[in-house]
Amino acid sequence: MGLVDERLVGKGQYSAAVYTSKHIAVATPHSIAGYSIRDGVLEYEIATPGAVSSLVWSRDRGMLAVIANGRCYLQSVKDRRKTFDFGTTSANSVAAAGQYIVVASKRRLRYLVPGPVFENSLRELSLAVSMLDLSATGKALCVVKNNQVAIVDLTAQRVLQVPLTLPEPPIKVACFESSGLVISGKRGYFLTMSGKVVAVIDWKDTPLDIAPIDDGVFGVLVNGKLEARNPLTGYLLAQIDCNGSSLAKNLVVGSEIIGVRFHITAEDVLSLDITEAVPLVDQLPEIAADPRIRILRTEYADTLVDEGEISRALKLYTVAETPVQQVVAKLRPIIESIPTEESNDMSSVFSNRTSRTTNSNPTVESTVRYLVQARRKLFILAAAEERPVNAEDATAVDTMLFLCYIKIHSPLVGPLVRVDNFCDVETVRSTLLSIGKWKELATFLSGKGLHVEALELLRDKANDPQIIDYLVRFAADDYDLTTKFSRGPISRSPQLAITLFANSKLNKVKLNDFLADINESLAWELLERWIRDGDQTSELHTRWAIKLVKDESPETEMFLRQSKIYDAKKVLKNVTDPLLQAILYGRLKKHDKAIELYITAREYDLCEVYCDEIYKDSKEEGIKAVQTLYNVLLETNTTDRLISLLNTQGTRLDFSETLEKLPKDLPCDSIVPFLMLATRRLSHNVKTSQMEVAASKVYLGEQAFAAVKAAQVSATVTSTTTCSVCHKRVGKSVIGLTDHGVVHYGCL
Amino acid sequence: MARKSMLKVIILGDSGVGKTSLMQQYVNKKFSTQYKATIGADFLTKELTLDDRRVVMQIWDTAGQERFQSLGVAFYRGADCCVLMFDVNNAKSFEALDTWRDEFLIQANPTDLENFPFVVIGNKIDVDETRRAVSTQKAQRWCAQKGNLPYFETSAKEATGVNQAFDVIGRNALQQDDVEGFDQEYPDGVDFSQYEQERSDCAC
Ligand SMILES: Nc1nc2c(ncn2[C@@H]2O[C@H](COP(=O)(O)OP(=O)(O)OP(=O)(O)O)[C@@H](O)[C@H]2O)c(=O)[nH]1
Ligand SMILES: [Mg+2]
Repeated sequence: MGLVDERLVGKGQYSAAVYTSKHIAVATPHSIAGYSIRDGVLEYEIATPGAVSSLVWSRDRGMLAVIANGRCYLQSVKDRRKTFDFGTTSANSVAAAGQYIVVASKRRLRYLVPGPVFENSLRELSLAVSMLDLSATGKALCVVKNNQVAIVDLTAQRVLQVPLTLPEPPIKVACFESSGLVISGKRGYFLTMSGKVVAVIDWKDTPLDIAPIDDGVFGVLVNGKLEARNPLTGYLLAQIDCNGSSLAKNLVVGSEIIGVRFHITAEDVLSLDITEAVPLVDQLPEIAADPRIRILRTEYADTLVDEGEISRALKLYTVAETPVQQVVAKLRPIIESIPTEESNDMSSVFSNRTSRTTNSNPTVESTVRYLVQARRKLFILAAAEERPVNAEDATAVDTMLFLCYIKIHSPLVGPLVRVDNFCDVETVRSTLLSIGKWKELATFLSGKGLHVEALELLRDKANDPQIIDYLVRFAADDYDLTTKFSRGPISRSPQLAITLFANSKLNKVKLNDFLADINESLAWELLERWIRDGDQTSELHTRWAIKLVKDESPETEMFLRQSKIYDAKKVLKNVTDPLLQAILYGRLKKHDKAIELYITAREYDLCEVYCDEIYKDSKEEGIKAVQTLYNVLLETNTTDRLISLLNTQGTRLDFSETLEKLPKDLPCDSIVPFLMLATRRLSHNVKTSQMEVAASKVYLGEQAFAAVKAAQVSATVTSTTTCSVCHKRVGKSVIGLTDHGVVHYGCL
Repeated sequence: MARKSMLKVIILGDSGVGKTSLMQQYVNKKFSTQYKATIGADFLTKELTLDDRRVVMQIWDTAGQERFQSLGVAFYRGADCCVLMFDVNNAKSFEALDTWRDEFLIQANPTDLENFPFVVIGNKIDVDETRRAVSTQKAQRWCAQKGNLPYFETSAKEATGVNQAFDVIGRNALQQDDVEGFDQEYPDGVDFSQYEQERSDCAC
């Protein structure tokens, strides 16, 4: 039943009873007795300083607040020694809610603020109160002098007079967070905690007691029945017949106990009028998820929108989880009807500075808040569930957000069009065009990949550097687009081409053609830059080589040597200079021709280097090249070069053939290094190489020996030195060096 | 009116740039090499004195990974300073700053967009110079473009530059007038805790 157990009632008189978490605390004339709720067994009895007139349970503090003999004090039921006295001598009413405990005593309201129970947690207000109740936020509903009603905000220490005079006793009060009930005789006033009377109910009989129940409804004990009434409207939601039996004069309420009795189902709520039902749902989270309840709340929110209560409506849509598209559809006409703020220059791709003009409009502000939250939910939930964002929802939200920004927060249009967004293209296009915000439109279009449109817009509105900037950022890999839209800007300001193409990844050969068509010197400037930056396109190198050749640039030779990828054949057609030709023939591996040209150009050193390089690449080719050079030098009778060649690369030549061809007048000592190297090599190959007869005929003078010595070959030859093979004196014969010492060349 | 002493600071940036590490280093002087993705958003508070004023800085660390971000926009609202963070060794994290900034402006809807204090931090400067992907000049250029935003380079690992950065963050936050008009946002409606559940079994 949830009211005081009949067994308790049977025990006789009591002045007050209260439900604590586990017990019913009952005031007897000299004590407080605690009976177990489960079985009615007496579990404690605590003496009181006199007859108890009020008993209140502070759940948050786990203590009873007692008024006995005008004294008000807190009493722990676990540890009866734990008490706290409010220091009153004529308390007439006490109430507890949350951590607040408030006592009315004569002309003062004394109360304990949240926090530990200390003397200095006590506060006081001068206010004569005869009856009171309290909400957890610290708002006390009081009956003050002359049966007036006041609401006291204990936190702010502010008193609000309610324009209400209570006609007759007995008087009772009860309150919730935001609503209160005052009974005076047979009449009940339902009011908000901001002091507005929302309903007045007249009963046939005088209500015996009232109490807030289960944080949702007011319970009124009247005419043998317990009524549950909507605190916001006074509407009768349910009724229990108490058989009029042994009801106490106090209503003892425990949330669990009476909550069971008043279990309100979705059906109950749905059977009510919508204005009754919707506020009730707020108190009943367990039925909020019922689809029918959601629809109900949505419908109600729709009516709120119609009444212009946008903020309330949006809160309701949110808790009802109304589909965003539906909400947006409902709000759109309202937002659209709001005049747009004055146009101002705002952020965009081109300027990231944002400036602010704000037309504050509560409807739009609320809508923005709703949309921002909805947007976040859409994106984050999609990411969390690893699925794509629902595009239709996102389009509805983003487009609406865009429209709201246009109305009152135009600086935010910039950020919105820059981030990933689902704004409807047509809406954004027409809106931004109509107010001349082309930069934002271009940014937006770029985000949607609509580059042609964006660029056409820019071509109309923007300056050349802006167009180029756009191309660099968004069209860098599209040749057609880039060339189409950059032609104009580049022909007007050629240097923009450098910005646009210096690091381009487009086909540079095509770009070079394109640029040449606009401005030839610009085309060459870029071409050179690309090559310097390491471009490896053969065609570009060929073009550059030909250009250098034609310009007779001093850099030509260097370039032709350094670049490895130009088409030498093509370049050759443009070249007349023998040295350059030599380089190019070299590239074509026509070594004979190249050598010939080197000689024609009298570039002997280069030619030797060239031969040497060939040798390093391929021995066989190298040997042939040296041979060729040797022959050419012989033919052209260039003795000094011949000597130089022999001394540097002579060992690559066929020894006997070379010796045979040596001009007769060549001083032997000029080619000592050659001879020495050749000899050494022969002696190293002593077992395998065939002795050439011609060699032995060569007469070597003293100098040769000196040279051998100088080269620190480990043999000393004197007039008495003998051959280690035939043991005859070496004399002035040609010698070889072996591991065993000096040997006649013929004995090797 | 006395100026408030509670400063709300939000740190944004790609996953892994070191937001959590930086906050931990600043508040608790701790660093861990282990990476554990932040789920949702959480804050630590730190008391500091700025020019003889005692202030409490409430530093909100957010998730860089979109799927772990908090659904509520509540923590964006009323922010006094927003820290945009990247990893100097990760070019992508630097490029993402634009988006983080724009998203912040949309979500927080501050009264004065132009003067809202952002501070930019390039983190992980202790890492080998050869791996550096964003030069100081490049970062500074970006900051200059966005309205001369203060730029700091830090190492949460070696506690380099951390206090200096937060000192300026605190000062800029203080300058930000007490922003009005950050009304309550709407209740979330969807319970996000299911995603938090998922990660507790994740060993990373
Ligand atoms: N070397 C070095 N490593 C760092 C530094 N700061 C963070 N890290 C490491 O980088 C990884 C990521 O750091 P977190 O702080 O978790 O990154 P976060 O930005 O919070 O990432 P999310 O929570 O996913 O957004 C961790 O392994 C850190 O140890 C730093 O200054 N230097
Ligand atoms: Mg983190």
